[in-house]
Amino acid sequence: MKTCHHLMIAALAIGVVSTAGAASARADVTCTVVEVEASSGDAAAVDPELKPLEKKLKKPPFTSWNTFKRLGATQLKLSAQKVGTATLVHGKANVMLRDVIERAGKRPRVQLGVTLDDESGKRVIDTKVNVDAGDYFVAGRPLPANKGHLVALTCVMQ
Amino acid sequence: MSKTTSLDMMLAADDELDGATPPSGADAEATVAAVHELGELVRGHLELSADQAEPRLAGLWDLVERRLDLAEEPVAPVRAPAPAASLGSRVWTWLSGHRSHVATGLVSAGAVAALALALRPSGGERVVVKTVSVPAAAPMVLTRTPAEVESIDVGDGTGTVFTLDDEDGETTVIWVDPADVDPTEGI
Repeated sequence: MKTCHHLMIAALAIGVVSTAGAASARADVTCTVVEVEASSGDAAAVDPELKPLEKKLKKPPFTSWNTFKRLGATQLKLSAQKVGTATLVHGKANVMLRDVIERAGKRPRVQLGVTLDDESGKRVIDTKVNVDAGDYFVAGRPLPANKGHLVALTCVMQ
Repeated sequence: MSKTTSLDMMLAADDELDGATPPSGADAEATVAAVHELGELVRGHLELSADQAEPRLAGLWDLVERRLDLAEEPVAPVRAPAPAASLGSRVWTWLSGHRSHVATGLVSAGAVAALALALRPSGGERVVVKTVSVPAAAPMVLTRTPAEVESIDVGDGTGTVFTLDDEDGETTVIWVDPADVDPTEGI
């Protein structure tokens, strides 16, 4: 009987530790999905709301275009293993928060599952990516009429 | 005629014959005289003894009288129970009960103070308080780690993963070229 009690206590302790470990994914992660359409025009123009991405958009291969227009931005409040959907002009993006890794002296690492569908619902990208909180991750594809479709994703801790 | 006994002769010496004829004769007179003498001796001895015991008996009577006086004094009323002692009085009581310990502690403290005074550094040293400016600590910078693509599925298209590096850090880009997209469409 005493051994049984000890085993129960040990199991409880292991359960508590396991629960604490699994709770590393914060429930207060907010991911922002920014949809950008790239095109070529007579004059270069970058939407002022794309300021955080402006430097990157002036690097190859994005130099194929000189006009970048923000089509929209969607904020997704995600918890662990939950999927948020952002409806885009050119399709749909699903973002799943797989986990958040806290690291001493480093930014929290956000582990995401990202899928991108086109306007017809066809899956274009299905990827698993790990990115620092606050950093951007960009997925893109060409559009007809020599345009480009960019989806920039960044997540921050609340 | 009945024989005269010693008892008859003693009764005769004390004049207690109650009308009986006193014994006569030389023997009887000698016996009565002896009884008288013996009586005198006994009385004298008893008077001497009484005189000697008189001072002690007088002290005894004084003691008895004082005890009788005490017994006759009115009985003092029963006192009401004392109220609960205050904290100060209890502390004082405790200190009184542990006087030796307190004294030992005080003596020890005094000895330590004396030692500290005796062994303190010489009075030539002075403590100088200086205000120095400390450079502000730089804010902690959390190091960055480039994005990492664990897996990628682009269907029937072609995927390219590259990194854009600038002063803001590295940005990972996945570029997909679908197989069925005609870039010239719509032009």
